[in-house]
Amino acid sequence: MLSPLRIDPVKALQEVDGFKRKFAAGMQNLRNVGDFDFGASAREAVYHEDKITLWHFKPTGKPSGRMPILISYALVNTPWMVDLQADRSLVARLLELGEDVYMIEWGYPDLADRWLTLEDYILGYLDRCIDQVRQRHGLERINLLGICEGGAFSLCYAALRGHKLQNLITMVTPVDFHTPDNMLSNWTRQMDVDLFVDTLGNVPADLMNWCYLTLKPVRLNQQKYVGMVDVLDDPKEITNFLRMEKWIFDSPDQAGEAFRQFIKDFYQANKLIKGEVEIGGERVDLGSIKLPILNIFAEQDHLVPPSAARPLRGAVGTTDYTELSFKGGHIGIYVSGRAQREVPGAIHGWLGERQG
Amino acid sequence: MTTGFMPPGGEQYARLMQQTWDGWQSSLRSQTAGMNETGEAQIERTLAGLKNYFMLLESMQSQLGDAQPAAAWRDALGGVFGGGQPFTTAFADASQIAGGGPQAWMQSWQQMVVPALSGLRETLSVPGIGLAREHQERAQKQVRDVLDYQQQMQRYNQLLARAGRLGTEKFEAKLAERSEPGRQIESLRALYDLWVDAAEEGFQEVALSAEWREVYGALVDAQMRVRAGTQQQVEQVSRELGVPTRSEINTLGKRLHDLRRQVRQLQAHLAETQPRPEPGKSHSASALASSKPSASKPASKPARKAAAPRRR
Repeated sequence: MLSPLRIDPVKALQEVDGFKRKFAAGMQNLRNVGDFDFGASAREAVYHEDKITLWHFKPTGKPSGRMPILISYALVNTPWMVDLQADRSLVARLLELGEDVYMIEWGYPDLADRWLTLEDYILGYLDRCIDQVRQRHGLERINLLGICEGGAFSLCYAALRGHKLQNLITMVTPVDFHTPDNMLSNWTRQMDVDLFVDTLGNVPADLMNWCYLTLKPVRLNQQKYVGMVDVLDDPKEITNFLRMEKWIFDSPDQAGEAFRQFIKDFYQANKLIKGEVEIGGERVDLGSIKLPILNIFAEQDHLVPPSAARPLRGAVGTTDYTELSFKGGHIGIYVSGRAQREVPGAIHGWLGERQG
Repeated sequence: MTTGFMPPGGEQYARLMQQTWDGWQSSLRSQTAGMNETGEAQIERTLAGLKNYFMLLESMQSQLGDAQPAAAWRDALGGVFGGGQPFTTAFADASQIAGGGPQAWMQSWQQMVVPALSGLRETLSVPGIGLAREHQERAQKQVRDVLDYQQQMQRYNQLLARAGRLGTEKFEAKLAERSEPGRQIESLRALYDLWVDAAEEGFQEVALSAEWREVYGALVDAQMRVRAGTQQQVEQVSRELGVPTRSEINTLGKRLHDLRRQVRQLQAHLAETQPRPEPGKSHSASALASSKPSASKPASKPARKAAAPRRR
């Protein structure tokens, strides 16, 4: 039997030396990294309420005159993952294709916002943003694109106020929270969320991030930074890396009451797919959603595994349901090269066939 | 027969690698001498995350020969990656990266309090009497909660250790799969990546189990009880000093929130009682905006350029 290793001593020493030199040289690049931020596309704020902002992105392509799309992101992290940088932007690609794009930025809740409930977010902020877009365009209905937790919000909204929507697109959206490969669900199922929220008030962003990092503890805390050394000598790539780091860790606290309800009803009791969620006293019946749905999920998603997203097909009442399975992860679906090539075009094409 | 990596003079090589690491670290520290403390701390954290990888390079000098028994691999790599406890190390890294994290918070708490607990254990079940009765009860509960937290943390660490052992087994299995011509590992980086894959698989198996769910929930609950007890003690002192408390602010916030909700409901009710627009004007703003709270407003003017999103 052979040894599993066939490592040449000279090459090994070169590998060590190369790693060391890259890191040392990279430190200089790190110091020279200029300003960087996310949110690449030109936009204007068209509506404010409390800490939320409704952004309208300025068109860059030939306007197609199509019905506008409103993006509703998750409360965890900021929505700028969809517009991280010019060459990694779902928004930019949609604009180039002629889509008219709006996006809600939920803002950074503080303890004055701890009493915000899911009703406040879904039937309050989201509803009023949708009304703003309808009003600006003089339309009865618009398109809604919900992402992750924002996708779950969008499903609730479509079930309760579907008459204001033309088409619904869900991206990496959990529907069945109790599938066996859902680690985040497993970790939250037996905690006392009442004690948790009563104690913390709002859930600190650092605590949320700590939880996410420990879902893949070695890969996300060590291997990622070993990989970082590979790009340290490339100013552009290290800037990209740091921009992503900034997005990951520049995240909002979670309003306590909304968090309590989301964990209890969605993660712990799995009420969304059972048709038992109540928002503001109204029951969310996914079966009542009759509008066209495009459900996009990521095959290597460790936060919302495909098994959690796929059951939407059998839960909704629409006869116009389309799935797009993307080869990538929860974040790669927005920023990878493959995502830039495949996802915006798929959305644009699907919407084009369903303009009211 | 293949050739492994066993350079002559292994001890000298080991020393060289250690010296390289030390020198490298020292060099980077000197480069950051002009930076502020936060900058240096960031460098330290980065180096901590990379050190495991670098030490892997060091350790290979005596273990990369032909026909090494599995135990030798395990010992060598286990020593590099946190003594067979990769997740404890990684979680500690995460706590640092995440600006403290829950474990770090509790560790600092325990450093202050736990040394004083040993003498109190026997008094935990003694009922209080007299004026200070309630204070004593709270203090006793706080101690019981800390002890419970320690117990839950112990169970949690045992699961992490199990995940570490599973990862090691999976790593050995993956190595065995590579003992064929054409599949052998030819770089230290590839070896490291293979170990990471195995470690994550081992962790995933444990972290998806029902046992993990129960232990993790119990740990989170235990920590929250300690935090809640601490907050209660702080509030008690604050009230005595006339300092506004979190609870009081919460009460005000809740009342304000309820009031805003009532105002919205009244506005919606008023809107419903308004005369509806004539047919043909259904696209008007008044028809489209079902309820328009006074607190909300369209942006008064467009931003001149795309303002960068900022934490508020």
